Amino acid sequence: MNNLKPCSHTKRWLPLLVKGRLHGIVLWYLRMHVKRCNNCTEAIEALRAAEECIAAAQQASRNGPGELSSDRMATLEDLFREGQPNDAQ
Amino acid sequence: MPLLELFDGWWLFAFVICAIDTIPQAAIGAVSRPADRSGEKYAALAKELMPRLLASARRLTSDSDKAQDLVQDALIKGFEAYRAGNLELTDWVIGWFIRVMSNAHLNSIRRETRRATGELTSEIEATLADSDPKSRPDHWIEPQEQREALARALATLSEDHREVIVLVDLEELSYDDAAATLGVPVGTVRSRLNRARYALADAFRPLLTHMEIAQ
Repeated sequence: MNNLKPCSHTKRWLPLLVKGRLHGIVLWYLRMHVKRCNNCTEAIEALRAAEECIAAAQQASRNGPGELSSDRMATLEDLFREGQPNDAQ
Repeated sequence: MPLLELFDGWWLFAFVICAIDTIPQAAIGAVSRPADRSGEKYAALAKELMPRLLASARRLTSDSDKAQDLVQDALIKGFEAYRAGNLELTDWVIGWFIRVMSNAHLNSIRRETRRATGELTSEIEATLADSDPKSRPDHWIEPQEQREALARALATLSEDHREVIVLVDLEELSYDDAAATLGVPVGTVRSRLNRARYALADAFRPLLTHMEIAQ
């Protein structure tokens, strides 16, 4: 059950506002609307919290090895080798 | 006369058989036969995709061992599906692996906690309660805690919502690729994504309450 109740005419745009993908008059209107609408403000804050966590996850994923550990690689290589058509016959 | 008609029929039959026999094997789907699904071809794909898959796994979990397990398990599942003829090595095959990893990880969170949606939200609150926002002026919680909170929040979503968020928002697949991965029209991806974003945001509302109290 979703407890966020943004206005029906802004519902489509608020996630895009949080992602910074809106421009021009739509952006201007939504900013004006959100300033005086509690429901939309609450929705924006929750969407922004989720967006920050997604950004943190994306940032973290850039650091780390590009390969599996050697023991895991060996397991996979064995499996793929056994899966050769010639071996299967 | 009927004998002659029968003779004509045999000529036609013989012609069709000869024509089929001259068609190259590749043109009649020999490539997709399970017998030709070599481990070598799959291994090359696995090697190519591995950095991307590991990065995807790290988005889902802050535990590097768990991330490696997720990738290994997904590649094994993929190989089984490939050998069985249930997985094609298409341009958007990455989506298949991301789906497998996210479902495996987030379902395990669900199983581990064995809690309903509201109680899972309490887990997020607990994560926040352990952090001290005052000592971190730039961030309301540590990035690692944010990732854990995200995983728990994702685990509260329905599978449809969770998959579209993971594919489009977390993995930044195009709408077209997400649609191909999920087997739904692009319009469905757009509408489902909008609903999913609100569902995820709703799971984060307890965090906001905590922030207000902390400030």
